[in-house]
Amino acid sequence: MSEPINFQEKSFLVIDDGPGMRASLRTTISTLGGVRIDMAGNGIEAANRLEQRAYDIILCDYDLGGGKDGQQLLEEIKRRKLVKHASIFMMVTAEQSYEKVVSAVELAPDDYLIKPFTGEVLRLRLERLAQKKAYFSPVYDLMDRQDYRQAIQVCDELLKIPNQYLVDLIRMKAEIGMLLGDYVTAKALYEQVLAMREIPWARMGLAKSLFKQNNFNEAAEVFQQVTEASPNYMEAYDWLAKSYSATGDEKAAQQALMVATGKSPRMLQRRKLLGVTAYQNDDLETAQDAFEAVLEFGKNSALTSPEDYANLSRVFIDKGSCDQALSVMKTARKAFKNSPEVLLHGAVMDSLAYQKTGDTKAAEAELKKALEYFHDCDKNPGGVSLDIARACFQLGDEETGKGIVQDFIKNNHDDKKIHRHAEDMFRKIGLEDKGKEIIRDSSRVVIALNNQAVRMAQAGDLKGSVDLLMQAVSEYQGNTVIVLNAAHAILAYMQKQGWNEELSQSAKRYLATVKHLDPDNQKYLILSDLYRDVAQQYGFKV
Amino acid sequence: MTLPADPQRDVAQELGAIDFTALFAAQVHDLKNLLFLVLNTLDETVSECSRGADTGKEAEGRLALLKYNGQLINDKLIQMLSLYRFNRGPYPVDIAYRPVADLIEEIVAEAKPLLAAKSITISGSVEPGLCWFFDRNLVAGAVNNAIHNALDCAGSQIRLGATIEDGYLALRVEDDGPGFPQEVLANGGSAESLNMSGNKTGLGLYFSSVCARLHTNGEKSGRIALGNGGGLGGAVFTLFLP
Repeated sequence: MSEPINFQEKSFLVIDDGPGMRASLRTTISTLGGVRIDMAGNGIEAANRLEQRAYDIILCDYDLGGGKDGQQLLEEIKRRKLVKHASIFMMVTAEQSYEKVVSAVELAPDDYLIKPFTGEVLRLRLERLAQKKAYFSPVYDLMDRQDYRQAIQVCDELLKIPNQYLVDLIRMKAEIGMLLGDYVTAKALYEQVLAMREIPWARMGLAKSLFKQNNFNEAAEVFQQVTEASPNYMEAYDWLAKSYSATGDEKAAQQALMVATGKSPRMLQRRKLLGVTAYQNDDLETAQDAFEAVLEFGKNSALTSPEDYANLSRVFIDKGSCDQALSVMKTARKAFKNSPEVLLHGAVMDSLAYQKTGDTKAAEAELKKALEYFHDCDKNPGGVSLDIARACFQLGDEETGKGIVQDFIKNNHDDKKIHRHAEDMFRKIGLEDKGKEIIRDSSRVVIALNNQAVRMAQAGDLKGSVDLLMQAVSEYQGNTVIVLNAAHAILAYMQKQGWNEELSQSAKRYLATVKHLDPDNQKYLILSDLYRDVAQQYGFKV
Repeated sequence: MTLPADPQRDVAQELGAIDFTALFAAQVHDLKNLLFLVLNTLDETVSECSRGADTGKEAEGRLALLKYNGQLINDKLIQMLSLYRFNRGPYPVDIAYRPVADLIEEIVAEAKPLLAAKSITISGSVEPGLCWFFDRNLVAGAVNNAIHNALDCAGSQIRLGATIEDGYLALRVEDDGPGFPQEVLANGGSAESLNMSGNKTGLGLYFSSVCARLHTNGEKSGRIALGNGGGLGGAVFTLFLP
């Protein structure tokens, strides 16, 4: 049973594209006693409101007119951390959107209500949610502070007394286990839920834990089961594709992505991945369709990047449609107002296009520009490296091309996917063997260096290990593995030898770098924990 | 590793054999009659208002009746839409572990405004702390249908109860009316019982039975049971969930 809430104290945000519905919700909230009620007519307005202040209760309609739908808005504000754990996000849906709301299992709203509903039911639901939030608040607080171990302990305490949140608690423990890389425990917890009841998210969690233990074949089988039992569970298709990719079956991966895109055509990330996979499979028609759809659906939104245009241009170049390739990048330059990033992508793709038409002079001129932009940009340039390298190799400048690939691989020495993209690029320009050699050698350099540091640490030379890895960081700043290992070495050193202010600052900076590049990185989470432990060991409060 | 047999497929097969056009036509007829009642009540209310008569008590009764019939139309439409969607499949069943008391509390809260139209009371009783795995909307749909039937027939009381019986959650709706007629007791809720020509289509009970069967746990699946007698001597509708 629920306990009353004082709605007068709560702040509400109502998000609905219909003024009539907004007014009606305002009336309903008023009858419950709510007075602090703000309104938003679409996703952008809602995000703006949420940037300015935190709301206790958000009522959001699933259908928000033309732009983002309620689920996309929820995902955006969760990603941007615009909602606190303690806030209530209630999705309101019409009958016809119900299936989509229920199927959005991964980043689910706290609850949903089907229109029409009475004020009384809204009150009951909100009261129960508030109660649930209060129950979980100690766990949320610890998770916000990234103190996951403690959070698990609190869950265990709460599980000692039988209660209605039993399944939620097990799920939360499993999710924390996944975050911390304890996949064996997570798998056991998901199996515990499945022993009670067949629930899609638990089956999904089980499959993810198998995937994370590199058990890709079995994972694919279980993801496949999820898609069969719950065909609208879109995330299952993405993971199914990932599992097939991991086993090297890119054709099956493409198939899974195509099924998913057919069901949910507006998901740009998935379309993009489909394009990339189809391109790798030399299925240029599907790749073109996918990349064109990304640009079409992403038009007038902040969801596309110059890279999306480059992807399409690359397909046109491979098809021999160089005019179209050039025109795509022309559009891109206009769309991104000649930003440094688009100029870089544009010059590279234009160079490749001219080279294909046989206009070597123009190709060389564009490549020269591209290389200048490339050296000027301070960000980790990502995929553009491979296009530049391709242009260099094709125009005969092997030295420069090789150097760029080497840097790229050294910064991603253990990223199998990136290695495959690089191999693929070499295959497409007929340098498969040479490419493999470059990739292998480059990643070996970093692996050797890393191993050397590990050996030094094992032999007791912790300082030597720290110095070596810090040197490596200055060389491969974009390599999160090396950056994290350096932080790890510093922490291990300080654990033994005492606090060192200068080193601790470096470790802190390294962790911040990774947090910026890859906030969900597991090792980062574990090291943040360790950092706190070491600081506490020497009496520092973090 | 295998998943349990697909209950939705069995239900889908059965639904596939139903002539929805004929069934919905019959149902639309029913809805039209209800709408006629609503419009009638509205007309009366409008004319009372324009006469400026002091209609406090009476208006309240009429508004309650409007609410009652409006809700009935809404629920019947939802049943049609849901059956259509189950048939089109696959329908996402949202099974979660929830307190049964919350469900009963919500159903009673939704039913309360309807009671004013009749002089009937409703009460619910659940073992404290009882939790179960179920889809809230499907279960609420089935139980609401039973409450509507009970509101039609009850003398003065409706009782809602939840217990565990043989590893099933049994949600029971009892009333003190004359009970289910013999043909409903024998056949109610089955696909064969659907009647496309009369004015009682049997769609509500069939919908409830489908909602029950969409709940499965391993080999077991949900069902409905109809009986007479019970604690109040009238109709007894039971939804069993595995």
